[in-house]
Amino acid sequence: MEQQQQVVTAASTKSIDMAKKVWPFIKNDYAKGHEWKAEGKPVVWSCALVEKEIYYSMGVYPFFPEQFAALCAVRRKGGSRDPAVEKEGVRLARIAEEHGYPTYLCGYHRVGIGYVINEDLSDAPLGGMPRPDFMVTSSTACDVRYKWFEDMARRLKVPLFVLDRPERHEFGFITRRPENNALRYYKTQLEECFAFIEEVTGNPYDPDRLNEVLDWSYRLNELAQEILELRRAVPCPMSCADEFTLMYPWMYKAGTREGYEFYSELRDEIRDRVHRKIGVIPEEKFRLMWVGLPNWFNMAVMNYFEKYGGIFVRSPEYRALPYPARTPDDPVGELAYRYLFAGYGAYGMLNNIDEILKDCEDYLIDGAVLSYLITCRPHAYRQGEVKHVLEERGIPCVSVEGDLVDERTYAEAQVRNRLDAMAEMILKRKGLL
Amino acid sequence: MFEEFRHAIDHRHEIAKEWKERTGKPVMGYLCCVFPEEVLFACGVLPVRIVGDEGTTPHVDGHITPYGCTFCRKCVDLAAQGVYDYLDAVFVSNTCDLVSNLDYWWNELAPREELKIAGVPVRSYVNFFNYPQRITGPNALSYTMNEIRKIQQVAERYTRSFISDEDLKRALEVYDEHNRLMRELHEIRKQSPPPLSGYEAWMVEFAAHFLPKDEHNRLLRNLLEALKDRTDGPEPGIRLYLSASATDQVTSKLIDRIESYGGVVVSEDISVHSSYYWSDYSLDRPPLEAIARFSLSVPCPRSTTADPYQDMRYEHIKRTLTDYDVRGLVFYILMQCECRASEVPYLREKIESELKIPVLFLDSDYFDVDSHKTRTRVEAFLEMLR
Ligand code: SF4
Ligand code: SF4
Repeated sequence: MEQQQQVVTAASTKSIDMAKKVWPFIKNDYAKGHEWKAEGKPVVWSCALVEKEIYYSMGVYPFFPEQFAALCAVRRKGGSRDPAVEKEGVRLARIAEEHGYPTYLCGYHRVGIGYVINEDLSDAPLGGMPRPDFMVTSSTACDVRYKWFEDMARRLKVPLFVLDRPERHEFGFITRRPENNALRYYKTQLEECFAFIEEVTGNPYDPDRLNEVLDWSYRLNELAQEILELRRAVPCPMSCADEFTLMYPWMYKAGTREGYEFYSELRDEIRDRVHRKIGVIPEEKFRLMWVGLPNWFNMAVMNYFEKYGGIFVRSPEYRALPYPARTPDDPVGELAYRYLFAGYGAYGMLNNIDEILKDCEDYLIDGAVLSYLITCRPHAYRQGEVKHVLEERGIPCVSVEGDLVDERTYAEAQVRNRLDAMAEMILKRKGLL
Repeated sequence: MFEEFRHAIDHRHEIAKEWKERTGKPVMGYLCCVFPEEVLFACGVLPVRIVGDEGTTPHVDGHITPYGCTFCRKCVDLAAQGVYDYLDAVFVSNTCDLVSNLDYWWNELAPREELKIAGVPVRSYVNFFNYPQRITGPNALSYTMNEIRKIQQVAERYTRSFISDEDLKRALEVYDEHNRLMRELHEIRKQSPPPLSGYEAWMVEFAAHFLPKDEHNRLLRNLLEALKDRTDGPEPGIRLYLSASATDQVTSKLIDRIESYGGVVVSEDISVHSSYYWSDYSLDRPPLEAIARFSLSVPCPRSTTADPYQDMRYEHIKRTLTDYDVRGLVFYILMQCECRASEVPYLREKIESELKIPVLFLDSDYFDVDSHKTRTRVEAFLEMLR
């Protein structure tokens, strides 16, 4: 659900050419945001799960503290590559801890708050995020998402809007129409959010502009689904190492032409690889799933199994579910319906586990690595159950403990032993060892 | 003076079973202060709060991560053990990250056959109360009323009856009296020394979750009378405010510990009991609306509001400590209770700088509330305040 970031891996990590274009894309995006701010135009800090179309249709430049925290997880001060210089994420998390934030809080939260407490917002990778004029977050996925934003907004003395989204716990939610009560409620929230942005920025809501933006995101989502379909191919044309890197244009630029164009080129590249049967590794022996968000500071683990002929073919974290057809006469209603119908994150454990099981079938999964994010409750709490359910179905699992962005709790050597053991077990089971 | 409350806490399961046996009516369990238990009461159901207990959690280990709140884990573990088998239905509220997913685990680990017609569930054993996370704003009230109607439907289907506005009004009279009496009890703790200790107050409040409210009201009225002449009340101590995660009979040991070291808890903001009784019902409104308004008034740490500059939690703490002559404030957070842990640094800074009240931050696992570390820190804090 969160975000992506430049991976810290050797060249073999990326099999997709487009993945190499992500870092320049991000740098350019940050630079444009800073220019935008310098021109006196409005900037919002927002959570990765809010509909980006709101901002792109309202003339607001969005920045995402979750994405920013992941950026801090891999960068050292001044772009240094000296391992003696601590990562910016660790430095900022420390500032938060010095101010009483417990170490068991979400790393995104600690990094973001440390950054705000630090006051000099430019003292960070890529010049940091421009000072926001306001913030918008949502109730989806975790408590942190609004408790953290409340805290940042108070400290920066800017107004905050929280989009409240009803949860859908009924099994098989995607095939059922959302309830009227939930739909009405969420649509009102969105209308209120547009009105709030109008008031803060002075920029008027324009349904034509919103429709234009929704066209781009609709198409982007179709591409993202096509990519998911293409990635079922054997050999695997694009691994999770690429997937996490390539999230940025999909997740943060939904509703823009550039996001669409980036993904269009990406789709072409993957399609070509599938047609020509080009896999990530020369001889694919087993296929793995990465369940949960990655430890951004150690993306190298995504390539770890390649030496055994293993490849992470899918992570169920980022899912482009099919959007309902466009309804241009009611774009705000469409956004509300779309979220409740195909939205991310608030549909309960049962649906969540069910879709992981379906992915295991669709992507021919032999084993899974569970990212046991000890500081992220929504991800950590379900992992025990995912492990239980997958193992019951004969899919071996290994858990890797750590934080998303704070490398201090990550025990690499211990992890490697467990990963090796799983690789050998799968190879033996397949008669390949 | 407090025996009946103690008894209700210690024998809460037997009391519920015996009530069920005697009345032939359902007992239903719920999690969280925001849950509209009034509706169940109006339907003749006994609503009881689901809480934890001492002991290990063998049934949930391997299912729910240790990095989840142990209070929640323990609640489900008890269900899996069969301790909550007497509940006819269970309601999980959409509150914190952990609680809002307990519906899954309850169903997995303590499943029950449901009534279905043509494969469609008619009466579910585990039900989800989709409470808003933003408790003010244009549609919050109507949305919540509709969600409460679903709770009403569950209660009606289990009792095969229809609840009228008159039934709801009668329930509200009982609950309104309950909240008034609770506030009265809270009010007298302003006295110096207070006529009852923080632990005794906790017992009274906690017992309310397991008794029919009219029965608790009777006990409470008697208690308030008796307290007027009490001569063996607590010794004067250092007056403290406690803001804490789930405080059931396991974690309430902390209150006892604080008081054994010379503190006295005179007011609090605690999940599982004192969070809910601060506002009046809008009795001039239709009863379902009054219930929804009341539910939306609970200053739960996991809620937010539509005010772009809201400071609800600070305002609530400030309001509930004003006039209590509080010398120190203790935050006690269960490990992994993120909605509370994440607000503490901000609240602490503000309480120390604006209210000039020293703050102690404690956190521990659910079973470890009375650890050596906690005791030392409490002692040192009280020493500092002396
Ligand atoms: S707690 Fe987890 S889901 Fe929430 S912001 Fe942190 S990493 Fe993301
Ligand atoms: S103690 Fe905290 S984490 Fe546990 S149930 Fe209560 S609010 Fe949720």
